Amino acid sequence: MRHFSGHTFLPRIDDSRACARLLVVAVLCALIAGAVQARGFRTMVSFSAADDSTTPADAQPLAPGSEIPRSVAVEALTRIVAQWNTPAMQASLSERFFDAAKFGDNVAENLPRDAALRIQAIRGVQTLSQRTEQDSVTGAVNNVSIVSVTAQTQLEFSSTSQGFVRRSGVNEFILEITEAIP
Amino acid sequence: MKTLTTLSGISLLILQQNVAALEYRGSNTLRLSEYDAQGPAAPYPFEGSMAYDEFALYLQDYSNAYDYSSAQLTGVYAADDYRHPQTGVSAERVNLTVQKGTSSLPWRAELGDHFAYYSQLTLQQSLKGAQLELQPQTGFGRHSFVVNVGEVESDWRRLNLGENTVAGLSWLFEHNRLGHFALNVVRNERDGFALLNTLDQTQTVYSLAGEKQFLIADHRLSIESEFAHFSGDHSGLSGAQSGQSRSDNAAFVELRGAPLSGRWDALLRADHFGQDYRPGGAIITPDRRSLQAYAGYRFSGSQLRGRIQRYKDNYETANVLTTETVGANLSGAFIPGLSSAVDIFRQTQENENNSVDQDILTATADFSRPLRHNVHGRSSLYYQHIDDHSAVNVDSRVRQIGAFVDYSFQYRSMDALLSPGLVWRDIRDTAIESDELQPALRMTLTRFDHRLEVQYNTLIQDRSRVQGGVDVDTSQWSANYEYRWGQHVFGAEYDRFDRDPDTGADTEAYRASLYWTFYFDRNGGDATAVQTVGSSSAAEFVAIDLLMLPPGSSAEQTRESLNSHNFRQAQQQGNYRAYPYPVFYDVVQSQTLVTELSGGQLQASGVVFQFDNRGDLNNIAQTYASTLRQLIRNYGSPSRNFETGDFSGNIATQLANGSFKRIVEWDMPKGVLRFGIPRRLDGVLRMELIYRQTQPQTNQSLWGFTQLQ
Repeated sequence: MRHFSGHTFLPRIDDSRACARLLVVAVLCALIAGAVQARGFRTMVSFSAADDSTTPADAQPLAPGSEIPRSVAVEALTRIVAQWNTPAMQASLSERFFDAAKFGDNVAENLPRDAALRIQAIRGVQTLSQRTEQDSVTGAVNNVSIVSVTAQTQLEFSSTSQGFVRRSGVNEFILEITEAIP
Repeated sequence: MKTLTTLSGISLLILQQNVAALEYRGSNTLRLSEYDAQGPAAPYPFEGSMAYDEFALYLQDYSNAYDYSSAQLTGVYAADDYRHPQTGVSAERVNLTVQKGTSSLPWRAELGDHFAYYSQLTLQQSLKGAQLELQPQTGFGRHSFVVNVGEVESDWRRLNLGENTVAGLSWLFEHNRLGHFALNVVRNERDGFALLNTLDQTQTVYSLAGEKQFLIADHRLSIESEFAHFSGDHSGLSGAQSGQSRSDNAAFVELRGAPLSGRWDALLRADHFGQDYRPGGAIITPDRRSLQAYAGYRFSGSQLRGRIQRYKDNYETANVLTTETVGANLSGAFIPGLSSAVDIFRQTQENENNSVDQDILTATADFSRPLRHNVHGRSSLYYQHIDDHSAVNVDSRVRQIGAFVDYSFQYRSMDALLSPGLVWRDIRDTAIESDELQPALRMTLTRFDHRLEVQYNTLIQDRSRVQGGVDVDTSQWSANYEYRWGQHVFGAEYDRFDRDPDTGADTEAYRASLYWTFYFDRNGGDATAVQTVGSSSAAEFVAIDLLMLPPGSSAEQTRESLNSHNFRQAQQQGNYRAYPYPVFYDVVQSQTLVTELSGGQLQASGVVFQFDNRGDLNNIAQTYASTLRQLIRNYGSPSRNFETGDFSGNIATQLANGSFKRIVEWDMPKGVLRFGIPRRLDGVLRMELIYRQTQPQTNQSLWGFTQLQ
């Protein structure tokens, strides 16, 4: 069973030239949420055969052949979008999502309560990188995948002054998907 | 140490699985759709019959854990305005990766679509181009050099080299004692567009980032900081020309801390982003100063987090916007029998010219609990009050209550999930008064390779109390059916939208689709499917899989299964038969396979795990966690997890009074597999894994093989 801890995020509503780059955690295992390192700059994932300084706690590159299937990425995005503009949204934002708390506050304060996000089409899906990582809390080893999903989305709500309102855009969502190693 | 050894073994298993020479795999999906809309306000701006065919092809040549090359090509032939704006064939993701980790200078190169990530203040962007990473082995720390050159463009068909080019270099240095440091340089050149009123822009961003962890007086502390400088052009604040030849700085400092064995943690952060610090590839808010403090405390089974934030936006203008937030979040099992989450925050916003001056209180609460073993209840509360002190003076108040139930059951070999729900909302402000009701129903039916999901919800908005207010009923329902047949998946989808305003024209719209996906793969000449790296057959790790002993089996079937796996000598205890042999090879605890037979049928099968004689709480906690990990390895991610209390005090007493609970469940074809620590009348602590058609409610602590000694 896949589980996504949920929260909302705001897609940038504009044309496809400027895709929103959002880091979103899609946690696929309720028990073993990945210990995402919270620092704001990149981390080392050693792929050198000669690097004997790595420990089991270090991130290790994952060999190719285990790309996140498109259907899983689509399901992840669908669940996260369903949590958009709900209190459940915040839990889906990555620790590395810039200004996550303020973003959640802005969504709660500025959006109509009936505003919903519709996925009109999923375009490109790409597994950008994969690594195995040991959870610092549980000690479990997980597969962590960074996945890019480009989607045509549409914001919809009923305005008292404008009637039915729709705002469409193309957005790129960056999902971090953590899976327990089966 | 044992845990580390086991985990290292798992890592090696992943890294050293050699796959035969050249593999390919992929899929192709053909989808036909029909969109139709009647009325003025439909969700589908394009109508008519549409079709697309999307394909994905992955190739890899994988010789060992460090050396491989892989290629990915995904694209679409689209005659569908939603799928792609242009008719015809379009490549969507193209990537070629080559990695040589056994080289004297380990390197990795990517061509095509890739994600360039240096830091929050510099570069975090998808690019079409090339990335090269070098990891030289110097004997002093670990080094990673990344070079990127690429175009910012989401569509290969619109790619125009030189239109928006990013080039960057990042050096990462990690040292166990000195800390982690990164030096980044990013250059961006963009063409101007008259339509967008922008000029040609060239900008360069430099940054130095560092992180150092300390241990001070049994506390783990870390400090992280990044300083960045921007030089060049941006789109301008008052016309395009105002953005030419600018320079500015950005920086943040973050301090995190927690005791090594304590229950609290804290974070302090200060940001400074200059008005002209506007790199194209970073995600920050320019012209801002902020201070933020977060703290958390973990209680037994719950956690409390608090935050205080102060933002000053438009800081370098005469009209500074100040936002102050104080909030708290309490989540966990702090209400007996409920899984709860309560979040409250108060925010004030005020700018210098008083066009913004408001005080906002927002509170949300979510509660859930299992009502019966197959019924789960959820409820949610939302409250928001905005007290507007500005000249506009638009106060508002929103109250919302939601209730939902998830009911899972089996009907004629179908697994069914029924989820009705209802949301009530009351919105009051100067311009809007709206009473809203939103009933919803979701149903999922699964039988072997068939899956049907139906969803319905309607939003009834009563706005009649406001002059000119228009009542609106908006209904949406969808039905999705999918059938898997070998490497093929066939599906049908239908979405309907109806909007009925009290005055004005109604809207009716629908989308209907049929699709067919074909998956193909070839593993170096082996016709079998490519095994996911890291996965392994349960049969390698177990003497007998409990799934071979499903509840409801006849006594004869049970005996045959046991005999075929060499489980022959049993001890009889009432309805129980106990086989004192290890079942899970990787679990070192003493194990006993148990079957419970009654009326000629297998009522339950399971495994009893004994804790070590040491019996101290740390050992019990570690043993439980490591056993659970092995089970997850065999059975995958659990379906449910019920956890109350922690491993402290007298566990047997806490099991009796309900303050401690460890239950993990997996939904299986013939029932539910449950693992945990059940209460026993003799006070003995042990772990049990039991496969039953239905399990007792989780609030019944005596759920184990109670009569088995």
